[in-house]
Order: sequence, then structure tokens, then C-alpha cells
Amino acid sequence: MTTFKLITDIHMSWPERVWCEINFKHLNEYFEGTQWTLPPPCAVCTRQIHDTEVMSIIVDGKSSFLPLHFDMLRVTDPFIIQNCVIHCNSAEFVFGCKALDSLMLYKPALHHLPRGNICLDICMQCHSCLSKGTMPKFALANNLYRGCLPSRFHDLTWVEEMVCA
Amino acid sequence: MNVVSTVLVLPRTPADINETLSVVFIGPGKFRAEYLKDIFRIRKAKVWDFLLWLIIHNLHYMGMPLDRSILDQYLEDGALPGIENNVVKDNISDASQIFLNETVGPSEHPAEMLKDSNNKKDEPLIFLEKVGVSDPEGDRLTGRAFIGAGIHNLVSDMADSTLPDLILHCGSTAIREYKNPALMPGMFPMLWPFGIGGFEDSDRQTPLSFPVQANYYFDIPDHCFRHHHAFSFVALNIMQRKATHLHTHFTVKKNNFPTIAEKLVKVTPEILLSTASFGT
Repeated sequence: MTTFKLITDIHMSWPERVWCEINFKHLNEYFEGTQWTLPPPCAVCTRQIHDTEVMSIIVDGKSSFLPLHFDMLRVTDPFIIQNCVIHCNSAEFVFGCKALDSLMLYKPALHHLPRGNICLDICMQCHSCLSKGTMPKFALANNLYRGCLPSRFHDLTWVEEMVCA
Repeated sequence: MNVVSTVLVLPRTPADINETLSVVFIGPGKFRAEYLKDIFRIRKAKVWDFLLWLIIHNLHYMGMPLDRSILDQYLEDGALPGIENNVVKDNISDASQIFLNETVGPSEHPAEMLKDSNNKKDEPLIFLEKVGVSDPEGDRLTGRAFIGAGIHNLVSDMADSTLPDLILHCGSTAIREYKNPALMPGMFPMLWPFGIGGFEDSDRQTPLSFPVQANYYFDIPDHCFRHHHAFSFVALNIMQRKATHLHTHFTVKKNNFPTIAEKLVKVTPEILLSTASFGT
């Protein structure tokens, strides 16, 4: 009897067993906490900054109504119009949506939804500027568009760039 | 001081590029010319294709005269011609010396390495660092040996008076570093393919400062700025110079500029050396 009591006493002094569910829950938290996840790029400024909030805005594909002050982002630079629109060198500012076409937006940040609607990812900084009607600092339309380099030139070496510059 | 001017016709000649480049070969072992091929590779057809594309699409290249005959000075696909003449070989860091340095007490100052004579021992290990960042604390050589070898080569390079000390790229007018949106796009056509979107553009609706814009380029999904061999260094250099100018401006009154400049010119290397050794 005394041995049995001794064993129970020892058992009682042991820490409580950690359940599988708790183990997995914390493992999962650890896994997620140590992942470097970037938010989707902003459609207006193209930036991707860790730990920033990104809003989604849905634009009706059929109407020509534009949310916020999106009109500000329209391509006005004659050089860009000449290069992108007239020469059709790139379909960069053509999104298959009448309202959005010829706005300086970053194509990979636009997602086509069913029924022709388009979802745009926009960072909070650009969103607050656009809702106030001021040009976002890092917007492509704020003379930050650089043009696009054809993929055949992506492997140019730095000396080759130097020969041309 | 030898001054080299640039051509107004593109592409640049191999001689022109060579004047701005210097290869410092650090490491034990013999240098072989084929190591240069990967780093200084030039494909003639690709360069011409890129120039033709730039003439049509880049704002700064429109109307720029091209001369195809210059390309004849390059190989079809090979290293930059003449680059092998710019290689400064360094054989001071041989294995036994490094071992001695590693096993001896506190290691010597990098400047001490200048006194070392060239050892001609063969060593199979060969490596060639790319431009920009190198890892001076690599596991094959001690950091001090690496830095010492670098200084040694720089000094021996300077002693050769036929090489230019400073290269100024000059046209008919000086190229401004302040408020010149064409500066960076002109330097790196791969980063600004259309030549637009440069720094300190006064037409910007919302103004952007140089450092803020430079930082922006490291946040975009296009990694070309992050991987570029020179952009980050050039941008940082410009930022540091601007900060120096600004702080000098705060310290010295504008009226005193000529007198201070005169005093600064009078400072000789001997004075600097004696000041440096004063504390020790």
C-alpha cells in the first residue's frame, strides 16, 4: 500500500502532459511566425513591404465609374503615350476594363473576377492619398515609371551595359 | 593628373571602357586570362541589338549617333579586349605566409603587408571576385591578408604613372549631380529602359527626395535594382556626398569658402601622416 502511495505521489509531482493539439498549435504558430510573407504588390506604387496592410478594391468592369481619385493616375506624359500606347510596344496600361485602361497601374496587382469585375490590391499609403485626391508619393504616375526592358535583354552583362551607356 | 574624356558616339570603344576598369587579382596561385571571360563578357550582336532598341525607346538615346565600326574592335563573344592588360597580379598571399599569420599572435596591420616581397609559390586555389562586394572574412584567406593585398595592389597601381589617376567624363558641359533626372537613367539603361523616371525630377506632382526614391527601388517586386552590380553603391555614394556638402555648408559660411578652400589645399600628405602618428 505504501509503495502504491509513493508511486502516486511521484506521479502527482510530475508536470502535466502536454496534449498533441497544443503541440501542433504552437508548432503551427512558430511555422507561421518564422515565415517571410510579403503582401501582394500595390497596384499604384508596385511596392511590396513586409508587414503592411493591403486593401482590395473592386472595380465594376462594365461601368466607367472610377473609385477614389483614380483619374489622377491617367497617362499624360506624351513620351509614354508615344511608346506604350501608339507604338503598342507593350500592353502595360491596358487591362481589359474600359474604366481602368490607360491608368498607370501595375498589372500583376490586378485580378480578374467573374462577371468582368476587377480587384485591385492597394497599399494603405496610396489608398489614403488617393482618397484625399493627392498624388501618392510612390505612384507610377508620379513620374516613377521606368519603361519595360524586353526579356531578350535581361541577360546583358554589366560590361555590355557599360559599352552602351 | 591624366584626364580622359569620353566619346560622343556609341558604342564605347574597348579602350574607353578599359580606362575605367582595373582588375585586382587577389589570391594565391597564377592568374589565367580565361577567368576574365565570365565577368567581362561582351556579345557583339547583343550590344548592337540593345543600342538599336535604345535609340527607338530611350529618351536620352534619340538622335545619338551610332558607329557600327567600333564594334569591330570587340570579339563576337568574349572578354573585353585589352582587359588582361589592366590586371594587377598579386602573389603575396601564399599559403605558408597565411598560415604563419594565422598562427602568430595578434595579426599585423594591413599596411604592413605592403612591405612584403612577392613570393612566387604555386598554389592550385584560384578565385576571382566579382566587382563590388567581396567577403574579406572568407574562410580561405584571412581578412587582413585580403585587405593587405588589396592595398598593396592599389599602391603599386598608383605608382604606374601611365595610368590615369582620375577619369572625368566630360562633354561640352559638366554633368550635374544635383537635380539632374537624366543622370541615373543615362548611367544604367537597363534599370531605366525608357530613360524616364529619374531622380529629383522637378515635374513630379509629389516631390521625392533622393534617398527616399533610392529606397523605393529596393521595395518593388522587380529585383533588378537589388541585383545590379553598381546601382546601390553609386546611389549611396551620391547620398553620402550630398550629406557631406550639406554639413560643410552648415559649418562654413559661404563667404569663407575661398579662404577655407585655400587652407585645405595647403594640407600635404606629410601633415596628415604626422597628425595620424601624433596620437600613437
